[in-house]
Amino acid sequence: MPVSLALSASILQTPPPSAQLFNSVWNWYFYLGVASGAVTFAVMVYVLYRYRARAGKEISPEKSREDRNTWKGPLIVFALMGIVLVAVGAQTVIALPTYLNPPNDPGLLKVGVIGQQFFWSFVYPDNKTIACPCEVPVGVEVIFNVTSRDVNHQFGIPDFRVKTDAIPGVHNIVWIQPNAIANYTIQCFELCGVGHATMISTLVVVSQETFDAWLNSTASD
Amino acid sequence: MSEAHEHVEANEALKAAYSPTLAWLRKWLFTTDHKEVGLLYFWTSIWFVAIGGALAGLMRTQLAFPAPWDILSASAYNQAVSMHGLIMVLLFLSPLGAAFSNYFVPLQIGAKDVAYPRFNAFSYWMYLMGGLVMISGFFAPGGAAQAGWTNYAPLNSITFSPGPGESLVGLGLLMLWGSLTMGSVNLIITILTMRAPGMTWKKMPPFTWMTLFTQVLLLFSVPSILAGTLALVTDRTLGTVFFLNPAGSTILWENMWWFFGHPEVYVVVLPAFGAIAEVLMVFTGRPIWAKKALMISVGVIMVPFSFSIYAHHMFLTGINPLQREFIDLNTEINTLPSGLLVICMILTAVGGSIKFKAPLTFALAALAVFVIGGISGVFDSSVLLDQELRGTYQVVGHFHYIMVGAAEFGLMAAIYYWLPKWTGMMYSSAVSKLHFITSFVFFNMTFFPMFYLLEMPRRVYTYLASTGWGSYNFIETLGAYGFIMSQFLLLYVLVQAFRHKGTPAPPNPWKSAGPEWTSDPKSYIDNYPAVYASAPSGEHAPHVMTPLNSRPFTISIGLGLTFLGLIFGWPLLAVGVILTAYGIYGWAKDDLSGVFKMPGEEKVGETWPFKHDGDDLGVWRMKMGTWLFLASDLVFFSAVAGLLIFVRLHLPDWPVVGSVFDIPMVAFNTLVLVTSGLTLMLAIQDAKEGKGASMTKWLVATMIFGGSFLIISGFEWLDQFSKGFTFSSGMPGSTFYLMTGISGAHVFAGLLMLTYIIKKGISGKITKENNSSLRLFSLFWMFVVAMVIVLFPALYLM
Repeated sequence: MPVSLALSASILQTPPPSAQLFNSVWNWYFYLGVASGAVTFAVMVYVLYRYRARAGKEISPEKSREDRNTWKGPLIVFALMGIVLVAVGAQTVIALPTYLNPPNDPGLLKVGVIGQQFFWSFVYPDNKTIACPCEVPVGVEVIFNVTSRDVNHQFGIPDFRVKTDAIPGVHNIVWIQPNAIANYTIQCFELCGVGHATMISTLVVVSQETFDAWLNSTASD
Repeated sequence: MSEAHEHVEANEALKAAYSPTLAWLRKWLFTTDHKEVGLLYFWTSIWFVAIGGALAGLMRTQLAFPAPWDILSASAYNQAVSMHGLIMVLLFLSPLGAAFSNYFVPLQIGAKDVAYPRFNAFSYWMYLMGGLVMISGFFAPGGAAQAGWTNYAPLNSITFSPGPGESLVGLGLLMLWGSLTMGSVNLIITILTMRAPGMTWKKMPPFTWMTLFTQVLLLFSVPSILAGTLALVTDRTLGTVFFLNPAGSTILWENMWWFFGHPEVYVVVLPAFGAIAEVLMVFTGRPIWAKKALMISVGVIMVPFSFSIYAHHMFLTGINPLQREFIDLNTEINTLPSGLLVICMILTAVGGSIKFKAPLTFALAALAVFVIGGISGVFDSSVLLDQELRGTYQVVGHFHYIMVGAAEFGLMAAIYYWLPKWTGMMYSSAVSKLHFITSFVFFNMTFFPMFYLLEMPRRVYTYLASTGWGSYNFIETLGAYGFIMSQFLLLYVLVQAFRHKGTPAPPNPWKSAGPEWTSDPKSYIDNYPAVYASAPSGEHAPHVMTPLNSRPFTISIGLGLTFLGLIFGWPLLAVGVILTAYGIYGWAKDDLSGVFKMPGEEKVGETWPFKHDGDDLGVWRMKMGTWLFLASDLVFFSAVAGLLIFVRLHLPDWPVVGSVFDIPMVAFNTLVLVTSGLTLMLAIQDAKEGKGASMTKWLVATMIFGGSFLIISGFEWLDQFSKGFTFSSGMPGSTFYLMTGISGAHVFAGLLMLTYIIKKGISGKITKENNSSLRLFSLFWMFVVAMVIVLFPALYLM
């Protein structure tokens, strides 16, 4: 589990599938990273202690300019690092298609997201545009089609561990599958001007019935 | 009279030249000595870090508590965050590395100076003036740039950043790119051609190796962002639409920015690692472990791969998923040489006798935090993890562990290691230890909590209390205050040493076997009088030269004022243009009269794999440097061509061939320029045969053809304007004017050089034996002609 996930507001519920996938990949990076760092630090501390200057041991300065070539040593370092990197890289490559590619489920909900200085608006089927909040039904896959009307923004829902750039003229896709009725923060993660810090919206996950009623009753902004 | 004695006399003559009124000021404004230029770089970067650090202090104060805590407005915070990044990376860290490169590379390789001392001073002044232009935005209406240090489009455009701050950053950056290009050509040629006899590649100290890699990275990465910045500046001043039109905009800018920006990380870190390696050798008494394999892995993997992985900054822009995975894996591959670097440094100590003096403690701290910074970066290389980590404080923590941790600590090791060589003074070991402990503790206190904030966005000026980020931010702020305060200890050490207070240092206080410690600290013009004094007699002529030259300073301040004038009004502009022109005129005049002579060695040292072709050594170096500059210029033209290709791929609507431009006219004009190339060839032929008068005629013909090309191009512009096809006529207009403008500027620069050549020819200084300036000019002119020939079909026939 990521060290900081404990900070997340959603800790009480089971994380949504995208966050679970993220966490499983994160764990590989985290544990192998910490282990590699620990081994490096251990070697470093040992070497520094073992070869500390002691009385009677003087090395003439010219010795430090001699050849000290080894090819085997660097190859071993490369091999060890290579094993770790392949292990973590493979996790990314394996999980990535699921993470990026939206499912082809006919029941899914497509929501257009438009970033604009300094708010998000959401385009529901039938071109109904709503400024805030973004309501979605629980248990249904939601595809966000993200773009921008002015400058670069970045559309992120931290609890779902998804994020993508909102760029004028470009449509980027992220998808989520809400698995609990709750509120989540949507925030802009790319500097977009003076209102960047407050470009926050809410993702409201409700039951299908509430969602249908809400969509019918809400007028387009 | 012995030759060594003559050198002493030459030194005395130089000291006398330093002594008239305002000698102190004249020395620092006009010096071209690599050691003094190095010190100028050093102190300037220290001033800039004071500004950048103060901005960091302001930002941390603002972030210490959640909303409604309100010390800085959102706009003030955005200015601070943008300028902090620009200053720390471009005006502090890389120039600090350049300070050491300037000072110690010639000393380490046994050269008397860098290859082109005047260009070296020019690089420095362009850096200072560029930096001042950038930060002058704080005094402009609307404040400094607010679009982040990366200046992402279209936020950087006049529509979304209407104030002059962003324009000043663009103009300042242009000067900085000039400075970096000149500096890299200079240092690369110095290392390639000026190594003393016996200073082979194998023996070359690690710091010089790392400088070489750094400068190669700069030489080929700067042209890309130079093209990008030019497009940005024309967007903001002339109304082109590169970064407003969706066909260019964000993705175009990000490509151009990160093609430079990612290698820039290595530019910042590698000199620090060079210094760390030097320090480890001296304070452990052991040679670098596997130095050969390490240098090869940096040169063969790290340097080229750093260009291929820049798009990992763009994972979320919607680039092709396959490309994303490819870049992810390339990034991981580039972890290998970085990891090897750390391991090699650690294993160097094996079998040694480790003395924990101040330089070593900082070197070890740099290694330790680089491990953390590097491993945290592997997380960001994952396309998947990047989906969450992008734009959060995890990334801020990661790159500060690299930038402040590894690079700045490594360069602090360099300061403590080389300070006695610079100043002849030792420093207080107690103060340096206290500085180390406080820096290390407060650094980690500032940046480690950021790894826990992987949901907090970067560059926000405030956050809600309900996020729970407050306590982490509060600790970070306290750490930042402590870190800033502890740097006053370093300042104290520096001021004491440079004011010669305290204990004098012996010539080689660390008993280092590094070659730079054997140079003569008292000599002004020769770093190694003894080495060259022992050259066979006849080959060694004493040279009295003055390293003072005012032209680099004049041109730089002229350009700086010109750029400021574009924003702050025409009086500054007028003064700037006059000063620039006067400086360029003076530079050429100095050359014609031979006032400024370079301190060339009398015998050639190690130059493998290049072969000295028998020309005068200075001429040979100019030739090598010209080729290198043209290589960089070629990358620049490729970047501009890449811009055109990018736009064309994203914009299917393009005017039909022949509908906008008068193609026969343009074809004729291209032929005019080609003809100028032919007349130049004839001039060279005459020069080789010693026919001075005929040569001059052909040179004048070249001038007429080249000038006609410019005039006809000018009429073409006017014609297009009158037809309503202007800078802002969409992408076709923008690309047309940018590209013809760039080639026109090249032709104009060439004509200026040609004026100088003609003047030289008329005064009979271009002879059968000595016609190198003409041949060097022809390299440049032929390059420009070739570029225009390539441009013709690209712009008009496609």
